[in-house]
Amino acid sequence: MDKKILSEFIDAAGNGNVLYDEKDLFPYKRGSIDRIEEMPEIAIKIFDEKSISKIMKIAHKYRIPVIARGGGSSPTGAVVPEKKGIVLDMRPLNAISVNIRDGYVEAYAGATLEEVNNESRKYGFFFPPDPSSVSISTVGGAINENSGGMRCARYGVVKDWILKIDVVLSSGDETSFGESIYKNRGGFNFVDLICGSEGTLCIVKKAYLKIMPLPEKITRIAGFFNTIEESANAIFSIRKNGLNPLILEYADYYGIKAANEIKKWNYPEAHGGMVLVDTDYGENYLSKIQNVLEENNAFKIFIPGNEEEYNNIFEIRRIAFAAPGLLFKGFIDGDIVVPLSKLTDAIEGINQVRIKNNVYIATCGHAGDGNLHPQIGGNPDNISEWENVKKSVREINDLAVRLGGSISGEHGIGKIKEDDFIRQLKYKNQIKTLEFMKSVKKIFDPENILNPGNFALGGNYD
Amino acid sequence: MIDGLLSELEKESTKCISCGFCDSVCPTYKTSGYDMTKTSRGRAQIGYNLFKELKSGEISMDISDTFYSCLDCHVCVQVCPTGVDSGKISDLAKNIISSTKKYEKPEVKAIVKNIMKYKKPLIIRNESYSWYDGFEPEKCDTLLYTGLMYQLMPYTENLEQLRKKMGKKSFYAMISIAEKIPVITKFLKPDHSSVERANKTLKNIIYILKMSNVPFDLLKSNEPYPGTLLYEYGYIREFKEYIKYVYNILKKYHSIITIDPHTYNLLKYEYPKYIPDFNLNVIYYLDMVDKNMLYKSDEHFAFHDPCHFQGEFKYNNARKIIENMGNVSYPDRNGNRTYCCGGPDELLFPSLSRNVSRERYKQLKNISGNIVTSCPICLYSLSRNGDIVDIADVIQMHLKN
Ligand SMILES: Cc1cc2nc3c(=O)[nH]c(=O)nc-3n(C[C@H](O)[C@H](O)[C@H](O)COP(=O)(O)OP(=O)(O)OC[C@H]3O[C@@H](n4cnc5c(N)ncnc54)[C@H](O)[C@@H]3O)c2cc1C
Ligand code: SF4
Ligand code: SF4
Repeated sequence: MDKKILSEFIDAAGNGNVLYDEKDLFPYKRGSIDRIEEMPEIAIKIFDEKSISKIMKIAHKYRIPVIARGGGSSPTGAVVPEKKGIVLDMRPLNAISVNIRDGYVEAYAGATLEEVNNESRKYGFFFPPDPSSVSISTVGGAINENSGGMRCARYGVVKDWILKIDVVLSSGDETSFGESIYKNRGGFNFVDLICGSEGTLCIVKKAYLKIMPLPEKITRIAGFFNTIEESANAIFSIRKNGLNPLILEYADYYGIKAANEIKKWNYPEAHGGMVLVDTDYGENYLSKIQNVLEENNAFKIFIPGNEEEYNNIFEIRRIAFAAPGLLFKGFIDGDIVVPLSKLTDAIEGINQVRIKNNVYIATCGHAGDGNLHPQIGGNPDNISEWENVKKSVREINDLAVRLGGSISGEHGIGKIKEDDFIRQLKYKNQIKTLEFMKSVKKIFDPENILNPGNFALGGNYD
Repeated sequence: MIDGLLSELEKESTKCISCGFCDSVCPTYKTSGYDMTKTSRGRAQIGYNLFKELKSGEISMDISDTFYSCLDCHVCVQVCPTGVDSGKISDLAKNIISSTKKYEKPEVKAIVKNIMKYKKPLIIRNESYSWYDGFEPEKCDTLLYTGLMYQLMPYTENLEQLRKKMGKKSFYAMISIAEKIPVITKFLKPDHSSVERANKTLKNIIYILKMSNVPFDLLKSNEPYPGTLLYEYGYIREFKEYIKYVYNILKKYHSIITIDPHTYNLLKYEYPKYIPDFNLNVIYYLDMVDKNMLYKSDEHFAFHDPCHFQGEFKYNNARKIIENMGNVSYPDRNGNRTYCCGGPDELLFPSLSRNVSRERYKQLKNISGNIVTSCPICLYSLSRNGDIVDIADVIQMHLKN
C-alpha cells in the first residue's frame, strides 16, 4: 500500500492496530469451511468505535475495498478479503451493557452472541437466536448473515430480535436505523434490510438486541431411528401433533459416527439418524414427545441422566455439522431450507444424490424450521472429485428450490453460492430481486467499496 | 525425522475447518490484544501452512512466536468440532523449528545449552536448597524427586526484571552471550520471598509424606533437572539424549515420587516413549497422602485446576484432597476446560503471561479469596496478582494432629 495512505490509516486507527506484515495478515485470509482465500493489503483492529468512521472516510477517498470481519466463521466466502482491500477486525470492539428496564442489550459489533448471553444470564435473560457457532459468531456477523440456529423454529432468526443498529456508512458518515423500543413504524424497515446484507451495505457498529427471560427448566430427549423415513416422519409428527419444542434438531448417521470418533463415544450410529428435542414445558411435555418418537419406531430413546450426558448428546449434533472436516481435505457447506411438509422429500432427495454421485454427505439441521445442512466432502486438489462435490451441491440446491424452498436458510450466499442463487431467482421468476438489490447497493455504497464481489452483486451496476 | 513430523502436522492441521470455535477458549487470544497469530485457530491455520511450505520448500515467515506462545493447555481440542489439538500442532511446529534450525529463539537456545551442559536451565543458588536442612532421608528404593520446579520459579521473576531494566536489545545481547557461556546465569539472583515460599512448601511436602509414613530418599543438591523445558520447547532430539542421563540416576530406585504435574506427566508418560527399558513406578505425592489424617474445615476454597492434570492424562486426586479439607468452588472454566495460569509463557512472552494470569486470577477471586492450586508454575504465576496457596500448605494446616 502507498506509504502516505498507510500512514493516514495509522493516524486514524492508532499505531499497532494496523497490520501489514504478511505473517500478521495470514489469519485474515479466509473464513471457515470453504477454502477460498485472499491476502488483504492491510488489516485494522478496531478497539475504538470512533476510528471506524475515520477509516471509512480514507477508504472512500481512495476507493479501497473494506471487508468487515467478526468471528470470521462464515462458510460461504462472505468474509474473504479483497486482494487490494482492508479487513476491519471488529472483534476487539465488544463492550456489552444490559438494560433490563427497557428489555434490551446494547452490544458493540465485535461481541459474540455467547458473550451477550453470558451478560444477559446474570440478570436472568437471554438472546434467543443461537447459531451453533455462538461462541464465535459476533453481533455484527450474526446481523449481516441474519443467522439462525436451533431455537429459531420457536423464536425466529436474528432479524426478529434487533431493535436498532448504529452504523457507519461507506462515506464514513454515521447514522442509525430503528429505535430501541419494541414497536416502531417510522419509515421503511432498514434494520431488516441490513440483516443478511453480508457486509455490503454498511458497517454495523453497535446493536440494540431484544432479550427475554430464560426458560425455567429445559429437558432434553433424543430418538435414534433405523430409517431416514422414520426420523423424517417423527419430525413431521411432532409438528403435526401441535407440539412446540424449544429445539427440534436432526443429525444423520455420518454426523453421529464422526462425533463418536472424535469424542471416543459410542452413541448408536443409527442409519436413520438422531432426532434431538429440547422442551421447556416440563416432564409431561417430554413424555408426549417421547410417545411421538416411539410411535415412529425410534429403536432407542435417550434421556440424559446427568449434566455430562445432557451436554454430550447436544455435542453430537454440533459436531455433525463439521463431520466431513474429519475425513476430507475440503467440504462445501449446504444450507437448504424447504417447507416443513417437504422435509422427508428433502432428506430422501439428498440420499439419492449421495447414491447417484457416490459422494460423502453428512446431513444435520434445524429440522424444526425445515433447514438442513447437507455437508459434502472431498479433496479440492483432486479435480474430478471436487467437480463431483460441486455438482452434488448444485443438485441438492436445485432440489430445495424445486421443493418450494431456498438454497440458503441462514448462512447466506457469499461467493460460493452466487450462481445457484441467481438460478433460484430465475426459476422462481424473481430476478427483479437482484435488480433491486443492485440499486439499493448503489444508494448505500456508490463507490462499491463494501465487500464487493460478494452476494451476487458483482461490480457492474449498469 | 522431519518427514515424520510433517506427516503428523498434516494429519492434525488439515482437519481444521477454520471455524474459530477454539478462539473462544484459547487464553492467548484476548490477552494478546486479539492477535490472530497467537490464537488457537491461527496456530492450526499457520501450522497447516507450515506443512505446505516445508513440503515444497522453505518456511517463508518467522512463525516462531505463534507456536512458542502456545500455553500447551489443550483446551482448544475440547471445543473443536473436528477434534484438532492446536497444542499438539504447536508442539510439532516447535520440534520442526528446532530440527530445521530456522527461526529458533535465542533465549530458548541459551536455555537448551544450559540444560545440556549444567543439567539445569539456570544455576540454582544454595539458598534454594535449604528446605531439606535437618531432614534425614531414608536409604530405600523410593526417591522423592522434586524435578526442581519449585526451586526454579523464583528465578524467573528477576529474569523479567532484568529484561525490563536492560531493555529488549541489550537483554538479547546478554542472552546471546549466555548462549555461548551459559555459566553467566550464575549471576541471576532469585526473588527472596519466592525462595522462602518455595522452601516452605517443599518442607511441608516432606512433612506430609513423613506423617503418612512414606519412606523416601532424596538426592538433595545432586538432583538433576528432568528436561521439562527441552521437551516443552520442542528440542526433542536433545531431550532424548538428555533424559538418558537423568534416567541413569533415577533407575537406581524402584519408585519415584514426583511433586508437580509437569514432572509427573513427563516421567510417567513421555520418558517411557524414549527410554526402551524404562522401568520406574512414577507416583504423585498426593496419592501417598493418608486422607484420614485430614480434617474438613469450614473454609471456602477456589481451586485452580492445573492444565497438566487435565486432558488426556486426567489426574483427579488433587480435587479429591482439597474437597476433603473444606468447601470447594470451581470457576466456570474448570476441569478439562480450565483456564491456564499463563506460567508457560513467562520466559518468552512476559506481558502475555501476565495478562493471562491476571485474567485467571480475576476468575478465581470472584469465587473466593482463598485460592488454592497444586502446581508450582500456577502458584508462582498466579501469585503475581495476589494471594494464592499451594495445596501442600493447605494440607499441612489441615492435619488432624
Ligand atoms: C461450525 C459452524 C457452525 C455454524 N452454525 C451456524 C448455525 O447454527 N446457524 C447459523 O445461522 N450460522 C451458522 N454458522 C455460520 C456462521 O457462524 C454465522 O453466519 C455467524 O453468525 C457469522 O458471524 P461471524 O461473526 O463469524 O461473521 P463473519 O464470518 O466475520 O462475517 C460474516 C459476514 O458479515 C459481515 N460482517 C461481519 N461483521 C460486520 C459488521 N460489524 N458490519 C458489517 N458487516 C459485518 C462480513 O463482512 C461477512 O460478510 C456456522 C458456522 C460454522 C463454521
Ligand atoms: S475449533 Fe478446530 S476446526 Fe475450528 S478453527 Fe479451531 S482448530 Fe480449526
Ligand atoms: S493449547 Fe491452549 S494456548 Fe495453545 S492453542 Fe490450544 S487453547 Fe490456545
